[in-house]
Formats: sequence, C-alpha cells, structure tokens
Amino acid sequence: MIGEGWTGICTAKEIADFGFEVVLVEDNATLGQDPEFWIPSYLMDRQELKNEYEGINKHELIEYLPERKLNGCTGTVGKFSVQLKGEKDTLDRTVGAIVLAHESRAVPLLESYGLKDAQNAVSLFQLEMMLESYDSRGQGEGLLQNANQIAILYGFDQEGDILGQRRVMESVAKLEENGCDVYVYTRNLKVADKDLEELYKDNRNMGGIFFKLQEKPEILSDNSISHYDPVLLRELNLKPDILVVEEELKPSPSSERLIDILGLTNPGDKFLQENNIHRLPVSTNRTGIYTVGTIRDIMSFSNIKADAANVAVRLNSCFEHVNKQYATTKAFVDKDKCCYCLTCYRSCPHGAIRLEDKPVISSFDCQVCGICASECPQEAITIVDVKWEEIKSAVSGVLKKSDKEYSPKIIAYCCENSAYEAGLAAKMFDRALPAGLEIIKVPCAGSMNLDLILSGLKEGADGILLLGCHPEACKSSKGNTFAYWRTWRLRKILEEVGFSGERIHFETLAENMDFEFSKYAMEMEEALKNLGPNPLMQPVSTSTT
Amino acid sequence: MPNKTVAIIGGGIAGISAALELSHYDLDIHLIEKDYFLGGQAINYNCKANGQCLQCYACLVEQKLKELNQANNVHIHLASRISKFNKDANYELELVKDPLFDSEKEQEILKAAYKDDNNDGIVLRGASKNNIPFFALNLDKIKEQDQGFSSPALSKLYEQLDLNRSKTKQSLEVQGIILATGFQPFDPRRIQTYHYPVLDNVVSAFDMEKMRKAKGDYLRPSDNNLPQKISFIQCVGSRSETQGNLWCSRVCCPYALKMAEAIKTENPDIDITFFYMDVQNAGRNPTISPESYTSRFRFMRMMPVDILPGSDSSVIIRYMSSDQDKIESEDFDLAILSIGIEPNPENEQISDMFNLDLDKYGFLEDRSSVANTYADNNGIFSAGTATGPKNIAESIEHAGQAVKDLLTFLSDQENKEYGYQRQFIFNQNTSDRRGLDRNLHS
Repeated sequence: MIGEGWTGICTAKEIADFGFEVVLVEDNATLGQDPEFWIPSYLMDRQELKNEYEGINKHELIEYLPERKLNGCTGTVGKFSVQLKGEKDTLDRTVGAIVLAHESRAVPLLESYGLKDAQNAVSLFQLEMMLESYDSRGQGEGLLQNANQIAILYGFDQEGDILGQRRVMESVAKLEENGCDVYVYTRNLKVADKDLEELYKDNRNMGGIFFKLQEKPEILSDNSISHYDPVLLRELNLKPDILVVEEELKPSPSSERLIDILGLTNPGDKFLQENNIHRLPVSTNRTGIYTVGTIRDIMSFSNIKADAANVAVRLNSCFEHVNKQYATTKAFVDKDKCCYCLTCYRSCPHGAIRLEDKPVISSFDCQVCGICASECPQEAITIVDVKWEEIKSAVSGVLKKSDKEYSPKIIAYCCENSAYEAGLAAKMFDRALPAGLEIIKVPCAGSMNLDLILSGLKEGADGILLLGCHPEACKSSKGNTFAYWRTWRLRKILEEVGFSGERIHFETLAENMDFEFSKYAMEMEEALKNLGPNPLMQPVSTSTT
Repeated sequence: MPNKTVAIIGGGIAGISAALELSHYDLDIHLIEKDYFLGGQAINYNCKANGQCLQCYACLVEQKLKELNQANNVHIHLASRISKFNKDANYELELVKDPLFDSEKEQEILKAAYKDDNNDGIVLRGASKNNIPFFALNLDKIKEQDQGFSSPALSKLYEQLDLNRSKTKQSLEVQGIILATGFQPFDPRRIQTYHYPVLDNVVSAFDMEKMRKAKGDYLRPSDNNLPQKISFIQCVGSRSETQGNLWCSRVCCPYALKMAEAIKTENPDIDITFFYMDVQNAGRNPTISPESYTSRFRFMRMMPVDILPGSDSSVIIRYMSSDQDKIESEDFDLAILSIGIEPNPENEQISDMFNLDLDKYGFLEDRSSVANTYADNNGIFSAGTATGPKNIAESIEHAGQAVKDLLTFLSDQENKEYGYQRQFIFNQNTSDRRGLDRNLHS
C-alpha cells in the first residue's frame, strides 16, 4: 500500500480489517504528520481523525513505514518485489498486490482571477481555517474581524469538484450564522451529492445570495466585482471585505512517477487511472495493482471509503485468479525466432512482458489479447489459448459452403468483449443480417495481424469486417487503435493491387449494440453487391499461350 | 465449517454486482428479483458512444449479467417476492414465485407468440440477450384478458401452456442480506402542465431509451420519424420542493447530455435545446466538456411554464423570456423530460420487514456509511440506488462496499462462534494474509 494522508490511512485500515497484512508506505510524510491538512472539521470529526491515525500504529496487521518512496518494482501479482527508499536506506518488501492511495492537492486559483496580490483575497481553504476561529474563540480572527461582506468565487475555472461545492455551502452557513453577508458567484451550482440541495436552500434562507453567471464576473482594479445580472437585468457592483477564491484539485505529483515505475497506461491528465470503463472502479491495466481515491478521479469523501472497500473485496478474487492461473502458460516467446526488438514489451497493454535474456510473458498478468503476437515482426509469440490455425480453417470451412443464390460472403472478425456479443444479440433480437455473414470470435480486434485479416479474402470471402470496441472502452487499452491502423494500411495495399479498399472495413461497437451490428453488416453487404464477387475467386482462364 | 448462505434482494445492477463479487467467495448466494428478468432499470439503457466511449456504463450491465450467468454458486430467483421474513437467529425468507415457463419447448411457444403480441405486453422479452429465460408470460396481464386473446397465436397459448400453474413457495435460511431494491423513476404525469402522456410527443427520457432499444433510433412517437427540433427539460421531479423531492437526482444531466450527444452525432442537423437550472456534470473527466456542449446545444436557464399542443403534432413550450417579463412560445418536434430518481414506493414495507431506517427523503438508510460501528450490526446491508441517486458505476461500487461489510460481518460472527481472533475466513484460495501465493514461495 502506498498512500498519503487520510486516503492512505483509511484504505490501509479497510484492507487490514478484511484480514490482509498491509505494508503502509507514506509517500509524503508531512501529510501524515498533519492530519488537519485540508480536511475541514465539518467533513470529519477531528477526534475521529486522530484516532484513525493512532489506530494505524497499533493495528497488528499494518506495518507503517513513513517517509518512504516507491523506488522500483519487479514481479507480478502474487509476488511483487518493491524497493522502498527512505532518507538513509532502502527497504525491500515482497507483497501480493499494490494499492496506490494518494491525495490530490488543492491549488488556489487566485492568479487566474487576477487577485494574486490582493490583500483581502484568500483561498477557500484559508477561509475555512479562519472560520474555525469562530468555534475556538467565539469570534472571527484575522480578516474576519471586521468583515461584513464576503464574496465567494467558485466554479469558473474548474468544473465538477463536488466536494468543493459542499465546502462553499458549509462556509456560507457558518459566515451567515456569524452575521456576515455572503455572495456566491458561480456558473453551475453542483448539488449532485447527498443533502446538498437542502444545504443550498438553508443557505438562501439564512441570507446567502447566489449569482449564477455564464461568464466569470469582472474584477476591477479596486478588487470590486462587477457583473451583469441575468435576473435583475442590470449591472451589479460589489466591493466585498473579503474575496474568497476557489481551488483547483490537482492529482498528487507522485502519479507520473508511479505510472513510470509500475508500467501503468498513462491517461495523460496526471491522474493515475485510465479513462476506461473496464478499469472501474479501482483497477488499472495491470493485474494486482489498484488505485484509490482522488488520484484516480475527483470524488467526495464517502467515495474514497467506497473505493477502499472495493479494493479489499477484489483482492481476494485477484489472488484466486493467481491460483487458478498458476503453472498454466498463456503465451510464450520462441527464443530462436526472437530478435530482441522489444516490440512486444512496448505493445503489451497489460505490462505482462518482462525482459530477461529474452522477453518473458507472465501468465498472471497476460489477458490473452494477442496484441503482442500480432505485432511481433518475427512471429515468435504463441498465444496458447488462441488457435490461429483454427480461426483460419473456420474461415475456409465457412466459405466452402455452396450457396445457390449469390449473396456476398462476409467474414466478420469480432472482438469477444464487444462485437461478438453484439452479433449474438443481433441474432437473438432478429435484426437483419446478411445471408452470407459469418461471425468469427477473436480475443481482441488488435489481435488480428495483416496476414490474418487478409486470409479471409484469400480463402474467398468477398469482404472483411473487423469489429472492435469504442475508443476508451477497449479492455486492452489500444487494441482498437491497432485494428484501425491495420485496416487503414490494408485498404491502401488492396487499392494498390487493384482491389477495392472497401472490401475491408473496421467499425467500433459496444456489446449491447445489436442494431449497429446489423447496420454495419448490411452496409457491407450493400457495398459488396456493388463491387461484385471477390476477383480472386473468378475462374482464371488457363489458355494464356 | 458449514457453508454460509446470503440473500441479495433486487436484481438490478447493484444486486447483480453484489452477487458477482460474492460469487468469488465460498458462499451460497441467492439473488431474488420480483420481475421476470434481471437487469433492473439499467439494462434498458442504450450505448451512447459518439464514435468514442462516453462512459454511460450501459454495456457494463450487459457484461456483469453475462458473467453472473457463468457463476455457479449464485442461485437466481426470478418473479419472486418475499412473503415472510423471520428475524430469529438465522434469517428465514419465504419466497413466492410465479411460474416461469422456462423449458426449451415453452420458450419456443412464447417466442412464436411474442411476434403476434401487438405490444399487448402479454408475452415479454428480455432487454438483454443475457436474460435467461429470454421470454416470459405476464400472468397479471392474462388475468385482465377476459375476452380472450387478440390474435390466434396468443389464443394458442391457452392450448399449449398450462396457464393455471400455481405459484410456488420456497423458504431460504440465510445469514446475511443485501437489499438492492433500487429506485422508482419520477412519474411525469404529476406535473400536469407538461401534458404527459396526453401529448404524443412529450416523452420521458426513459421512454426514449425503450424506443431506441425497440426501433434502433430516437424517433418521434407520433409518426416514427426523426425529429428535427428537440428540447430536453431537466430536473423533472428533481430539485423541486413542490414535488416533495428536494434532492438532485445527479444522473439526469450527464445522462441527457450523452443522449443529446448520441442523437446529434447520428443526425448533426437536429437542433437540441436544454431547459435547465445547473449542469451537474461532475468528476475529473465530465466526458462532454462545457465548451463542447454549450457550442453544440442551446442552453436556456429556466424551467418551462407548460407544454401545449402545436400544429402538425408538434408541441409548444412556453417559458419566461430572459430579457423581459413576458411569456414566449416556441415550437418543438419533441420534448424529452429528464425524469429524476425517487425512492422505491415499497421502501416503507422493506423498512418494516428488515428493521432498516429510512432517511428523511424516503430512501433506505445507507448501511455502508455507518457499518464501521459493528456493535449493532445485524447482517442486513443496503446497496445501490435504494439508498439514494447513483449512476451505474456508482451503484456497482456501492455494491462492492456492501459486499465488504457483509463479508466482514459473516467473518466476525464465525470468529465469535469459534473463539478465533479477528480473521477473515472465507478465502477460497491458498494465499496467505499478505496475499502472497504459497505455491510461488515454495
């Protein structure tokens, strides 16, 4: 478990309570030392928080290692070896699974509102800190001492921080209770969380005023706020005593380093989890590596706990998977053919290939998508469960069936995660399908190399459909991208040798898209009817002399 | 050690996910659904991809259902209601089941009759190919048909099937229960000024999903043509004190935006207008960014006053003009009402039966948020939209949380019984507590 702050503590506890031993590594010790970091008291009782921190040290199943960073990791699920670098030494630990639970940072957006140098501008977090003085001393401190009018600017420079919205509303309530007038400027009021609508109503009843604007209001040189009000239909000016500015939630700075070390697919937006429905809720592209909390998405506190519970539950099935897969080889590399070009290592979407004297494919990590085999220029990789020869013979078997009436023969190579299921659904729901359509199940659209795709044409099909998943919904992250490239290239090649490129077509589907499946197949048939039969199958005249 | 048995009540996405997670453990799982099919509300939704996955999660439901059919320790009880619940030491549930007509022969008969049903709703078909059985007979509907059936194929049912087959009873003894009883979509008839369903072309978003499932496109009900000008009306039955629903249903905004995106991608010429209060598009990646949706759709920050019939079966939406105090009227081909999430009307019964509190809105108490106080824990947990509005992904995650709480509860019970230290005992595998594989070590 590598984590920070409350997210780390909470996740470690959930997993340990579930009966697993946990090595908790605190990536950033200052957060762990200061449990009050940006968790306002109304979101979590201080005493409860302190108890949780103390509980971690006493828990018999948790080994707590503060101030260490993950420096390296080898191995696969069931047996990861991790190097944990501290200031003086490096510790080695062997663990069955890795959980990443880092917290996001709230970065004040004072600058983007042009309020960087303003004396009376604070961030939301700073306001919350000041507000606690009401509880401790019974009166406002600092800027709050003489403040009457307070303006909160929220939701113009970032959308979708639901926790931030709650913080704004709780602050409004507290300020109004203590006699301040609060004005909230926002674009869309995010009330999509428990009780927020009611809180909003309370806010207004207490006297809070909410301006909902499409554009950011103008902040004048004297720090007064000016906007055209869509309800009152006139310009409004306000010179508040305090300007409170929203914060942007930024994922932990550790995330890029972790992606590198652990070989995760980089989503490119500094978060740790790919934007892919197959990874929900807490998985990554690697078996046995999980991610929890605000490092995977922006979320509210209750979700962090839900994430942690979900990791705990899934760990068991993950290890069960390890046991089932034990000693079964899923794929192997022919060492004589391999030229060590590392194409497989780079193309594997599951980080399942490690480099020894030659690339070795881990049975635990491999998801049998076949992308490595299709990319390997030496054809050195064998995927045990996928019998390409069987697919080829299925294709030729299908095509030898004689048809009295001419209907174009279409081979549809369908990804088993999406298009194949859609094809089955199309049959069950009686959608229109071409008479000459044959559905061939393949592990991933990206598993089909150029040869395999073409083999259908060679064996006599009139057209080839390659059907995979939508972008960002591919179980193997980029299988559909490979499929797209290959069809594009094949179409060029076909056209160069005098075939029509239209004989090969790639489309993306989801498994509940029976209508689209039927549509694409029928469109293909229509196109093939216009093109006529496969020229390769025309009787060749033998009298050439 | 005796095998533990658990029951999950409700076969929607939360119930299915919970059953699937539990199936990895050494347990007997009973999934109880009152409808003829699994999948709940979520199975009716269509993929919203616009060439790219928009993360509507509809395909996840399909996928989970497929996996569930392969799990061998999950017993599925369809068309079953709980008639009695005995709260003694071991919980005892009594189920009353409708006959299912699930033999191969009976399914063939139903399949033939389905085509002739003329949408009378007597023969039902699953929304997913993974529904087993795929066809069902709506016995309540048959009882209403005192005049006999409308088509020869249907009247043949009488001869071929034993329609008087009686309900069966079964009792189950379980040690833990997850309640995943779901929500009820808001009934838009309650807002009378919108004239649903009096006007053909005022539909709920849910109707549109069913239309898309049946016909493959989002069509106008009056003439089955593509509408050219559509309006979405948000917050129908949500965020409204007058309706008694002072909560945001949180799924409708992303949902309606994705549906609009799907429609616009297919037919770029269609004009789409949103009547809304605030766009609730939250999270790290709102899939459709504000820049994109504001440029593609027209946004009107107001709730319409009413919807009236227009010429040529169009509808007229009247709303307050934004710059003057007067009412404007605008013609649309179709008005889609984004209906919200309401508590299941049976929640009160459920609360009585299982001793679970309701929150102030009428949703079930969220046991997973308080479950860490195990002292008063009785092995009954709640999951999914039964506890409040959630989207599909959130329901799946919430189910995972309930599963964790249930497993912890069962372990604690066992440990107490045998005097063990706290440890977890349902792991089927050979891994030790650090998750290290013993085979790998040796």
